[in-house]
Amino acid sequence: MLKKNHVKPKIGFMLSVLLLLSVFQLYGQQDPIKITGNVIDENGEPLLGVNVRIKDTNTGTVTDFDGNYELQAPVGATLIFTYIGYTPKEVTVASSGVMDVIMAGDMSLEEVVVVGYGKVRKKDLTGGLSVVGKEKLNMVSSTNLMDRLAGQVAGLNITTSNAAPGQDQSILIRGQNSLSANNDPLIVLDGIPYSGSLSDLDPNIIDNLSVLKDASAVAIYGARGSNGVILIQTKRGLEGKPRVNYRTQFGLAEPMQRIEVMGPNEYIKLKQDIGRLRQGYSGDQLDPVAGDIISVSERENYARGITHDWQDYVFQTGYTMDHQVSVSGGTPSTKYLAAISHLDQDGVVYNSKLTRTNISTNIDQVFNDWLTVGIGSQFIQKETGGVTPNIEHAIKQSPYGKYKDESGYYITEPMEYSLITNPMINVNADQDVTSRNFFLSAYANMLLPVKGLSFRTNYGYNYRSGFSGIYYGRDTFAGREQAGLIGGRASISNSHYTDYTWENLLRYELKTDDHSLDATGLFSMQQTKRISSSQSGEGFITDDSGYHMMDTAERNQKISSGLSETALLSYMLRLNYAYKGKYMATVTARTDGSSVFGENNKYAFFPSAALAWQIGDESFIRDHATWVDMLKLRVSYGANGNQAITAYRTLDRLHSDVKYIWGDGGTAVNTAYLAGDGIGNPNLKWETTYTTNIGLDFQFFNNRLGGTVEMYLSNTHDLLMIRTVPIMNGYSRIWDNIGQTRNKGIEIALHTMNINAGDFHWTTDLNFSLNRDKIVQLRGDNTDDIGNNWFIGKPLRVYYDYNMTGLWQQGDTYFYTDPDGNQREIQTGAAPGSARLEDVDGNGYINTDDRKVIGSRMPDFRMSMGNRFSYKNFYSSFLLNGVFGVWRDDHMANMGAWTFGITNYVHGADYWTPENPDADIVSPGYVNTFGHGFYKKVSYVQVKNITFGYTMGPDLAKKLGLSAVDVNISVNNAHTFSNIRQVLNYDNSWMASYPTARSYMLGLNLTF
Amino acid sequence: MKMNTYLKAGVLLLCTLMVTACQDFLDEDFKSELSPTNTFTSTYGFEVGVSGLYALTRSEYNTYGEGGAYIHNGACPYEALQVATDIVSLGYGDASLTAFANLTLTPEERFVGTYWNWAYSLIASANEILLFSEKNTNWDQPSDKELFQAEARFFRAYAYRTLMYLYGDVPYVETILYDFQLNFTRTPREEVLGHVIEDLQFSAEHLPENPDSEGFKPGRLTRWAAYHLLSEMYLLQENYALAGEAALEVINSGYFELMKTRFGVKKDEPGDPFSDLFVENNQNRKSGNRESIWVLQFEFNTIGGGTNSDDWTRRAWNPKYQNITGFVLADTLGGRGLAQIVPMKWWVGTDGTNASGDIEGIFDDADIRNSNYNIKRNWYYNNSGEPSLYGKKANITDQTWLSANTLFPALTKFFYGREENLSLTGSYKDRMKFRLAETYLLLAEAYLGQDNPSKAAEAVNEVRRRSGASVINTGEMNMDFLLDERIRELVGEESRRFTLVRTHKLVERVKEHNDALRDKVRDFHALWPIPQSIINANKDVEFPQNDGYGN
Repeated sequence: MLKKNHVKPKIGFMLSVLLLLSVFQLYGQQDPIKITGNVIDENGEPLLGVNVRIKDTNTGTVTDFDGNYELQAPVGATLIFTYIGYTPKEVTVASSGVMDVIMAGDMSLEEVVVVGYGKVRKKDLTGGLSVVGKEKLNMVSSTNLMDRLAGQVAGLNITTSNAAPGQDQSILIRGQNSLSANNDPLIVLDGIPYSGSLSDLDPNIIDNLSVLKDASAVAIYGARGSNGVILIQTKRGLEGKPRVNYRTQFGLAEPMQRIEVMGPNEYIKLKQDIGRLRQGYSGDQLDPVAGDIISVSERENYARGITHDWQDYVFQTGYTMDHQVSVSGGTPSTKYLAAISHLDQDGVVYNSKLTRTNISTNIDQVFNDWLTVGIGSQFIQKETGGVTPNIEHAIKQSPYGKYKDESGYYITEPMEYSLITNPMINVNADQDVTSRNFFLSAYANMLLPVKGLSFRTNYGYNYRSGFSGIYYGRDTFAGREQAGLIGGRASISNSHYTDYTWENLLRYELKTDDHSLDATGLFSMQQTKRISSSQSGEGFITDDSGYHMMDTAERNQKISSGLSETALLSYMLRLNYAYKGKYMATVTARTDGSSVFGENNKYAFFPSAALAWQIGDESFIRDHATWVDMLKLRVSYGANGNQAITAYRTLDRLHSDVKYIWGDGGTAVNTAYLAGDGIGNPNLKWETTYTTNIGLDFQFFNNRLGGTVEMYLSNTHDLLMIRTVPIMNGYSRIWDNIGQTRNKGIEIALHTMNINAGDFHWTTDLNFSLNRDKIVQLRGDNTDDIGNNWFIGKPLRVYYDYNMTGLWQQGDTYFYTDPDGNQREIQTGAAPGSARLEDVDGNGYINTDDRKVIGSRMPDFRMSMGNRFSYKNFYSSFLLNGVFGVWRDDHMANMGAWTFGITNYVHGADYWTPENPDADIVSPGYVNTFGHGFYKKVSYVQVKNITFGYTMGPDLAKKLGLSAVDVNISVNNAHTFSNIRQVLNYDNSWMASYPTARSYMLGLNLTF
Repeated sequence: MKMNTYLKAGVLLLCTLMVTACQDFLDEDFKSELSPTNTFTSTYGFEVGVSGLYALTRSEYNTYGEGGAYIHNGACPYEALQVATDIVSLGYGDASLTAFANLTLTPEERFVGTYWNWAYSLIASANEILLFSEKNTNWDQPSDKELFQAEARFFRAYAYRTLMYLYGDVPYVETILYDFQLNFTRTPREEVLGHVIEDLQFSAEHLPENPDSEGFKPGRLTRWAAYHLLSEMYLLQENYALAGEAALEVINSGYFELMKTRFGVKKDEPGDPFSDLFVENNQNRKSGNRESIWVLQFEFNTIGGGTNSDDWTRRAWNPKYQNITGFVLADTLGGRGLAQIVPMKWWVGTDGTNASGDIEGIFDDADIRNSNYNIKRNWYYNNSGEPSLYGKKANITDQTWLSANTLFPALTKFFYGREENLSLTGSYKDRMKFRLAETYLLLAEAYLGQDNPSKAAEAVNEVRRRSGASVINTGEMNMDFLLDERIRELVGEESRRFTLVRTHKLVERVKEHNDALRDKVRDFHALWPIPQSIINANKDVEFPQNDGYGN
């Protein structure tokens, strides 16, 4: 061994000498001449910053803002032009010395896209993958990355259930496979799995993003990829002189819409209707002053004619200020980028805000001909916090409720109803929430001294800390002086999360004229650790100390801490094979082991395979259908696992949160008891999804129409779910691998160049996705699981309930007589104005057998459309995002739950009274004996963004001393069209959720 | 050759990594939660475990969930055991209560499910302690094992008691079924009751005897609590002789007596011995209360004590006087009431009110349980902002009592108000689950069962004498009188439904006294339906529903 090793340097030295000789030889051929030229894109626009390099040398330059360049090169040498997002171009130096070049843009198939553990030409892809480039990323001006992605990729569904600034959206790729385990896709940031928040990232630092959807594409990520994978590449430095870019945005935001609640007169009428129909009041009892229909407080305001619009108090106009400065550049061997950005954003709800600072740096260093090393880091500090008012309480509050007392303090119960208190009671509290996120990704790439063999090691590290501190002073409801006890209430909590990923890849490439083979082997390990602690207490000496003197809490001091650790170990082998660039195959085998499973089920094996065929390159197309620029068929099949359960579910646990006390003035003692989910299941194992995918990629009519059609079918086996069992077992819920689900769907993504005439361009992107999910089997016994709302042959998430078909009216038949002559109520407790429930089994009366599957909580389909226009230096775009046919709780129809018989209600609500029998909504007197819900099938189309912009011509910019100037104005969430109205956020079925903000943004982008 | 070297080196490196890393890399190290295997390994661990049983038991009184209790999630769980009987009618109501009060119960009604789950949770935790107590060998004292088993078996019996009263035949389980079953069948009530009595016999034998002994923790069970419950369970079994013996064990233990003199924190303020029993902090023995046998702890504003979501009985029983112009919330008026239920006229009477009917009620004039300290009939306007009314008496009328629910004779035993926070929801008074007065009434019930009205009268008279009520004779003594006596003494404390079901008097008394349900009540109403969720979850075998509910 030793002996052999000594041989290496010698050979290496000899190789180097040979290389040097050959270079001299090359130069020796001819003397360099001066080359000048201009680089433009297909539209004739000059390209700034294009790399121009002489092949096989390190000599090169970049184009200036007019696309011009000059360098010295010998005639006959080859110049390589590279520019991100464009097809690299090679030209041979002509003796004229003038070399003008046109580079082809984004739609090129030569484009190299990032796939898992490597890059591949888009043309050679075998798996299903969508790329989101800068153009799409910059279409929406939101400061949240996920906002910018919504509606941009077919099959990537982003739901903003919490619209407050800095909150995460939920992402689903191709619907849900798992009934109760996690359905989140895997996020890979600069090659390293990232479990942090996407809202942490500055969207402006993202260069591009790929969404991997089918089994083959995600197979290399194995267990972690069963819900799809999103690969995010941040911007890296480019070869060329240093470039400084400054970008800023200013905006203001307001709730896109408010709930239209009843005004004072309408409210009194409602209270009277409630009084007579629910309480049986009449005459004077219905009088707002003399009667008992409103509280004493409301009576006072009624008498004085004082009313409040509570939504005025809880909502606000929010301002946004966003800055980013970046510096980037590089030489052929060293490339760097550094960026810093700062965002200040107010939410549209009183007290809500976000401050975010991002620092990104990266550097790539080529050391020699066999070693390249790179390192990149992201540091994010994010501050949110501020106790926001209770929006539900604002919506439901009586217009006659009392807002503040004489001293200016918020009245605790404006309408004397403890469940609907003053929305503002706690807004004076101090709350600080800070999260810090440090992410590091590093790699070393080594060419091994065997042709085609290379080794790469990736190391990723993520540290996140979270701090939350809150102090309720004496001027808040929670912290007020009460019961002779001093006021003040504080709590702080800390969390620290670390993970590391270490991946080692060995890659071998072999290429002959007709064959190309690429084999990758992987070993990776990952560990995560989360520790947390929190403390709280009550009764502080002074409000001045806030939450900074927890030790002075006089009573109710509580402390807690926690720990969660997981580990993952994986082995993977992938083979890519292509024949003549027309026929391609990928085979992947992966084994994953996870700590969260039972002793004997930790490891599982997941294989996959994919085939692709460039039909467009076949002569029968090439020769006969010249309008076909490209046509490719892809087929794949494979398995992926889902480990997405939390740690320790295989072990028995005791609930220990509660303390008990022995006698008056005693001290608290520990307790422990078996919680309903306290028994672990030692047999838990991976749930596995088998996916078949057929895809067709095409470009027609000189690239005027391009797109992708994908069809897929995935079957998930051994579903991990919490199973409801009779509590007589000693527990009522236990994790188990049971059942099987199926997802199938179609995704269509189209890109069209509608107009391409001189100065005017119009392009359209259309995305359509349709997914149907269903439960195929539960426990193999062909019976439904009503306890869990799981029904064989039905979608995964359904409403199962009594179905309201109308209203009971006066004069209806309320009794049913059975064949034996016994009478019973058709619908127990029904009266005129009650919801009429469907007798599903037709037995003549309503009982539990009359519940049915009302519908799926997932939409029928989604569709989105983006349009871009440009005329000379002006551009414009708009994006529509539509969700169609999703079943939701119809809160507005659920009068009992909305009003509790006491609170305000929706303006113009068409509810039943004896005088209004043709109403849609039940009577205020309706007693919901069966406890049923109310449902509606909802569709909505959101105008996500409209933008107008102007890019200053290079000549004009130059006069200002700049390379490029871009100004734009935009509006986000301009409007939503829907068949429902009384919600604040269409992505959230709860009517009082944080409202979607309509924001108006002014953006400026300067390059120096 | 060279390639081989590198490959070998690389492969060797990877292999080393894999082998060294993989051995225990994927093992779980469990540090952040308790498990039975790291808790039930010492006397202290079992002490923590049985304390958990007290906490679980107390969670029966939790309404909306706080401190880890999410059992009921509704406002009026405890009143569901009081309505549709002979003592209260539905007042302002609450969605969680109306179906129980109106006998429109369905198997999906919330508390139908939550009581079932509460009881079986308690049974499961008791069973787990019993299971691990057999495995543990590390005891401080050899007797610890029996002691903890006695405590666990008491709670198991206590939970089955609720199940038997509410649902009839229920599956009897006495261990944790690690391989879960979906084929439970309903064990006949007689059989369940047999097990319950065995458990209580064991508890009565092994629980501590002396509640005043050094180091005995207030609120902890004694063998006398077990005998008290055993007496009730023998009554349910109609084994009246043994029921009487068990009750006498408690009465003759020497540790308990009826409180006949003033005691506790307000003994120098106006009141009587009966009202003293229900003053905050007067329930545990250290206050001088020698009547209480088992007290659930709800200490105010203390970790381990009660919460704002615990025990909303006061809200349910108190009138909504604050809705009347001229009244403002006051601690002295019992704090904030919502009048979800109102007492019936037939027993509380209309004396001292302007309500119609001229009904005498069931109290002697001299009975202190009917004094204004215990049933408040005199209400005075207390809003100084209304000078024309202030200080004047506000009369109880049919309107205030039955329709507006703003004023009616109110039980002060449930008053709870704090001057500083009048909208406090929880009632932080400790709750006497068993007290000696009830033991006497159980004894009376046992004698009635043995056809011995004279001894029964003697037992009842013990209780009546304390309150200054007239002594009754053998001829007056019958079950209806005893049931009336339980109202006088225990209304709102006992679960009226349990008592009427045990004595087979539910339908009869509802027909007699409950105007709203007189024509509606049927024999099957003696039981609640089986929760639909249980029927659904028990997939492998049909779980029969109780008669009258749906199917």
